[in-house]
Amino acid sequence: MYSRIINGNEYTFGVSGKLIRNALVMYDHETDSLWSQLLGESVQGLLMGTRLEYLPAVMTTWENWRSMHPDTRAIQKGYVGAQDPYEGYYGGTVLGVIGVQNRDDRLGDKEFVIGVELDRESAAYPFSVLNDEPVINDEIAGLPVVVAFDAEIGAGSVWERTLADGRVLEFAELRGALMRDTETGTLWDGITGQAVEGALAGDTLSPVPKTLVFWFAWFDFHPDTRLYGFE
Amino acid sequence: MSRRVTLLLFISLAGLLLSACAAANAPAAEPVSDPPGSNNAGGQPAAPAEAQALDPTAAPDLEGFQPTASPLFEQSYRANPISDRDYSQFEIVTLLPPDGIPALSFPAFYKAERADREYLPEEMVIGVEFNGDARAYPVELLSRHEIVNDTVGGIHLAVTW
Repeated sequence: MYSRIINGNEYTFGVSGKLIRNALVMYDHETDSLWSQLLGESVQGLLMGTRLEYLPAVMTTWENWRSMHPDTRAIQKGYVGAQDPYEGYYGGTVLGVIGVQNRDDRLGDKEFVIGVELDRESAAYPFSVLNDEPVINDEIAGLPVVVAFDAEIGAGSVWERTLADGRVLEFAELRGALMRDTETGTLWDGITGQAVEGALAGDTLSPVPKTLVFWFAWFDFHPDTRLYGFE
Repeated sequence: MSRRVTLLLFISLAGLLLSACAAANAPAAEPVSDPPGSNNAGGQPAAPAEAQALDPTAAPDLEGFQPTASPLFEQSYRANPISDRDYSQFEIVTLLPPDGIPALSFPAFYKAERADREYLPEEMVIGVEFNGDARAYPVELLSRHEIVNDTVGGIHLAVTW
């Protein structure tokens, strides 16, 4: 998710009908510049090279989101349940419409990974590894991060491990994405990044931009990516 | 192009977009100037100091939701620096006219109690909360629109899928 504020001005986006390596290309209504969703940057037009500001969002079930935010509102659908006509694509063998340039067989093409790109360095955390290791303390481009995964809902988040006062935390898995930092013993919700119990209760970790994405698409964009669990 | 072909194309494209958007979040990351296939892991350590200087006036109204901001995060993601990425490596392929898949802008919302009648408990949503304003965007609906332009708690944002 991105801010629509670019250099102080408000923009709105539409779907360009174009793809880069099978991934969404947006355009902005104000300048018609093209934007790669996966890169978060304008790739063509007046604003080429400009980077969008990343904003954190949580992917989870309606039930879970609703219990976290009882006052939440939800888009008016006008129909009951899900009408996702593209479900067959998830399990299918088709990789995009325009072919892939870079391919890697360490994972299945349609396996989901959490991808992070920071300061010229990219890393991918496969769901298959996160299933067994739902809390991963790691470092990307020198930045201490923790990857937390809830296998039940297939949602994951990435947070900085550095607090405002400079302390760097290490997290241990409790169950699922619930984790405890070894420094203060505080209990954290790894999906929302919130400290729910203990010395740091009320604090929130800083989000690290991440993408939940098919392995083939991540690798096509980031052929030099590190693949956690396969190093 | 016949209607049928158009529809087929639409369905293919929309499905394919899922390849790279099984998440609302794409990395707005540091520039990558290395060509594909190069490996900078053994080279110089990535230096946050290389992040470009920011124009402080460019930052949007983000007060109140970034409790533990770190310098790297601030430098990399809090404004709109120019990337030196080589875009010529990314071929842009046209499949549909603009707005062939219609983005949503400023949609109407239910309160949670009313939404319960249309939302399944196990249904996946993208949840967003800023300044006490929480909103849910159903993933299946995002699959058909790809983009939702909205303003949440004063934050102007685009939910992308």
